[in-house]
Amino acid sequence: MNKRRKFIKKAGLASLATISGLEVVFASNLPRGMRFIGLQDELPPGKDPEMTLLNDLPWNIEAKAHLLDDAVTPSDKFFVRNNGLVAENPDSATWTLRIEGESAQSMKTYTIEELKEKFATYSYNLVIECGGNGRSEFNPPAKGNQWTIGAVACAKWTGVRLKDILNDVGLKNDAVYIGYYGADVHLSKDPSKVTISRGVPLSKALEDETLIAWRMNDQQIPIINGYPLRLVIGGWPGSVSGKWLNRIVIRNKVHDGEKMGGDSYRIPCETVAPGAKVADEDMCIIESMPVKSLITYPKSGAMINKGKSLKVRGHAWAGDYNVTGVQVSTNFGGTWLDCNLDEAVNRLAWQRWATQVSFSKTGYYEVWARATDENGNSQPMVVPGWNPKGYLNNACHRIAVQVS
Amino acid sequence: MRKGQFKFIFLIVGFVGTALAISACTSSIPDRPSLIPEKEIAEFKVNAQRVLPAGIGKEQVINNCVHCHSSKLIAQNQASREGWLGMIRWMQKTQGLWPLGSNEKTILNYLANNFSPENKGRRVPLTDIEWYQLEDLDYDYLQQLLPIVLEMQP
Repeated sequence: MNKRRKFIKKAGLASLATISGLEVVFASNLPRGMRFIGLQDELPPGKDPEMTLLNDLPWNIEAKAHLLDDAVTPSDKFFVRNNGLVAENPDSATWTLRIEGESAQSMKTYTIEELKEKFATYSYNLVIECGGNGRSEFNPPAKGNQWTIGAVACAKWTGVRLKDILNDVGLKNDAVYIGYYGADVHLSKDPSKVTISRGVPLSKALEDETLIAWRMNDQQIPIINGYPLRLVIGGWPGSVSGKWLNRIVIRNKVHDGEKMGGDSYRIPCETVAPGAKVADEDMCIIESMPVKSLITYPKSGAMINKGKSLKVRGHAWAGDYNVTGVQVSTNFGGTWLDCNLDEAVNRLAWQRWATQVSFSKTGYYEVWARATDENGNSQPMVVPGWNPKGYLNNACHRIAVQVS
Repeated sequence: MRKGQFKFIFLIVGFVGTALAISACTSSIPDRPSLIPEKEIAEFKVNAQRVLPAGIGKEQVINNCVHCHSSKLIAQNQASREGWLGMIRWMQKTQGLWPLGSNEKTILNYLANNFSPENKGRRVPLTDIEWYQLEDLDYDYLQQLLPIVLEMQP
């Protein structure tokens, strides 16, 4: 895209945002495939103009690495992975959450006010990464939105613990799994079709950090990201963190909702050759996401003068686990340099890493980053195991640098 | 010929013509559940005209494939003919896509010709790099200076 077009894009969105109230009005009222006349192919309001629009029906939007430099991802740089259409006219004042299911001791319904009154409120910084982040690199290509590296974010989420609600409702002895339902509309607009209804084993549901959240970064959750209520389950594929949440079912078996089976959010239980056909019964549900890192500074394409050192920094995360080390290489993985690595502010938050590199000669360089988790797993330099839907690409992130 | 008679014949010709035109149109519109308003579909089609490359089968793709999802989803994917057929079958099985009949072959040809996979190997070189001169500013140092600057204010 040329610079002029980019400028027009930005100016267009900026002028839209300056019309008082537009952002709020439209944000609370995003209809299916909403478009502004004269601004086709544009992002919905409330998203940074540098975000990449992959799909507008349904909305699928990702960040670029340098947009994710903040320790806590601002809402305008938070990716969007919607499977269906945004819930129609959701309202926090009238919204209810129902808990039921064959393994629930009772059925209970709560308004958001009741959740706030009845249960203690907690805030955590939690990493949500789309299971398909990095899909675009798989060969043969995998179907679906072609995410590059930006379907990940770590925002501050505020809400109540799911485990407190589950305790209030009561679990039967045979409870093993929970599943969610939301108010998003199926793309076909067929009301009998469920867009997506996934879940997690009870052990994950009962973790302290598993939240039913109504605030993101101390503000109302953007409607496109699940206002007024959503699940936030850090470290697992984003699809378990149901948006526009209105129902949770307590199950006596693995939840069998929409997109729990087939190729959806599942990978071959045993690794397969690229392009292989995999039978349904040989597919396993993705749980914890793999160790990964991003270089969020500098932006790829930096030109520097010889003799100057270059500050490099980013984040690292590892699903349910801690990151124990991050290294960078400026010679395509030939040698690796240890980075400073911060502790996570809480479990399931990403960790800041930083270092400084220098280049002895002029020329084209790439900086590669590689994180290692507490189990000794680290990121591959090439694209990892092929799977039919292209999940879990945690190949090391690369940026380009020119030294002259 | 009297004026009235002429008018009548004109009317008949006009009526038959319109009927023919309507039937021609409807025959290209697939049999589908009409849950999505026509107005929205018309808009998706206009967008698809812009997004999708020209070629035999484009019209059939627009008529059948952009009711439920954006043409952007088509354009960002790559697959073999077999791969595209798999996606169509999945949509028919689970997402409410109607049978494509004789259009299926045309649609598959179009998709396989225009969106075929390229062999990317195990990892492609970095592409689309936007080069820029990195400003020689030490933000950490500036941040350390900030409180001092703020204190200096009256």
